[in-house]
Amino acid sequence: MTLGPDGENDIDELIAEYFSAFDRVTPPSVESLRDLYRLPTKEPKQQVSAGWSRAGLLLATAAVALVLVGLVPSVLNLTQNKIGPANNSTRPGGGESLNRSLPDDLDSPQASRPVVEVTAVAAGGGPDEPSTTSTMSSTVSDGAEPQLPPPASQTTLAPQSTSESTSIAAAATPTPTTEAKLASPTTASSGNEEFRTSSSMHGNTITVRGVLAEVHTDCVSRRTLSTDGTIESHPALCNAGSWIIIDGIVYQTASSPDETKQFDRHPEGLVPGMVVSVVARRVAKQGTRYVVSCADCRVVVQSNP
Amino acid sequence: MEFLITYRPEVEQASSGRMEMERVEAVYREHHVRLWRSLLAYTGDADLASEAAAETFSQAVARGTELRDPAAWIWRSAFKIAGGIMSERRARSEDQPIDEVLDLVAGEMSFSTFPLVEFVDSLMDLPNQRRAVVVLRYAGGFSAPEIAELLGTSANTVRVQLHRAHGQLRERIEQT
Repeated sequence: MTLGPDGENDIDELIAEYFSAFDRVTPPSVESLRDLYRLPTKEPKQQVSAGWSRAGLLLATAAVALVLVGLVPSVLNLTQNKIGPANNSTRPGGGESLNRSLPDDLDSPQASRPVVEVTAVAAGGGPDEPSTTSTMSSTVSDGAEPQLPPPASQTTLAPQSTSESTSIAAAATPTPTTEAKLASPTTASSGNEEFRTSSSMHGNTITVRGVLAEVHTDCVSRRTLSTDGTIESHPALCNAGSWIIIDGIVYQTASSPDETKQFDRHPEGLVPGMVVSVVARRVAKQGTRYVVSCADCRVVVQSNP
Repeated sequence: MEFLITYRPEVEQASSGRMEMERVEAVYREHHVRLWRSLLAYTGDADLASEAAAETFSQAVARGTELRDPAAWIWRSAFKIAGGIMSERRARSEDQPIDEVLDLVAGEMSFSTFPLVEFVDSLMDLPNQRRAVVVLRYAGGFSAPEIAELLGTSANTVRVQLHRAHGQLRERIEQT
């Protein structure tokens, strides 16, 4: 087969024609992610124990409020309950504290539970009456966080990280966190800044020294495959040639010719506020901040104001 | 009785989780078929394409709000995952035969001088990055700058790789 003299256009059209053949092939019929992962289409019903009867009115109202904001409560903690006799049968002035957790949510870390405070204010209470303000703090589970059954070839899934996470988790860990907190001004003032370019074994590089402000990565986390009953770790690849050096530690990808480095290793254990020295090939200056990056990971270093 | 409801930031994050799920779902609806076909062309294996796509969307759902651009992340990650699986198979010296699905398609197509199977076989001979560029260009429908963004390289590098892939495929076709 001979292509014409306008080879580039000919081959472009020919390749496009070949690829049109793939339009005839369709993936397995899955209409939505919910079908793919068999996610529940309805949220679980709220569970309330019988012991809540005395605060039934408040609970019912709180439940309505929670439904309105689209959350599914699984744990309810009644931390304060000061309701006067004019409203219900609670002892006058007797502060009552109830802490009740539904058993199906005991494994969830407390820090990850969103909290809704509902404050009920009774109108028309006289000055001699006991306090009619009742504050209920309800800790609820994240109704938007699905419990995903893993695909057939996957045995671990990375759950959502919490907002308090400060480090990049190793790819093999079940909770890869991709963003660290911003450095506080107090910690930022403790660092110094150095910015220089140089040539080294890594070619032309840029070194930035300053206070670590943010750590990001869009890397694919390490996967765990189960083959023939054997669980084995499988590194997903970063882009070829990606590397970044933080405080002398090379974070390198599977493209490394050195067999000991043929795994993807992402920045971890980095806490905002640390004074670090970062070496990479790419840097972008944004005001007093330097964004140092490889293809997938990047750190932001805050210069000393 | 009057109720004052105070929201804490954690609540906002939780409610945004559902929005993020919907965002990934929207990406799934718009991109899944095209992504799967691209992965099929990239790997030549329908099962592998399905596995890589499922794994990618699974991780996207798990990451939620951490993804600034879910569509871009999904495309980029899917190719990395697929490439990783292929590398693993190569390490095990497992064959990577052209999938029977492609055989079926090839049988229905009328590329008389250069069968589709051979074309896909030629694609497989391209280096991973070059093949990814070709697939993203023709099956994904992305421009050179978009491919560069997905692969973390420059648009000029993408154009060079595309040009070299053209030459390699052209040579293979003309040999037929």
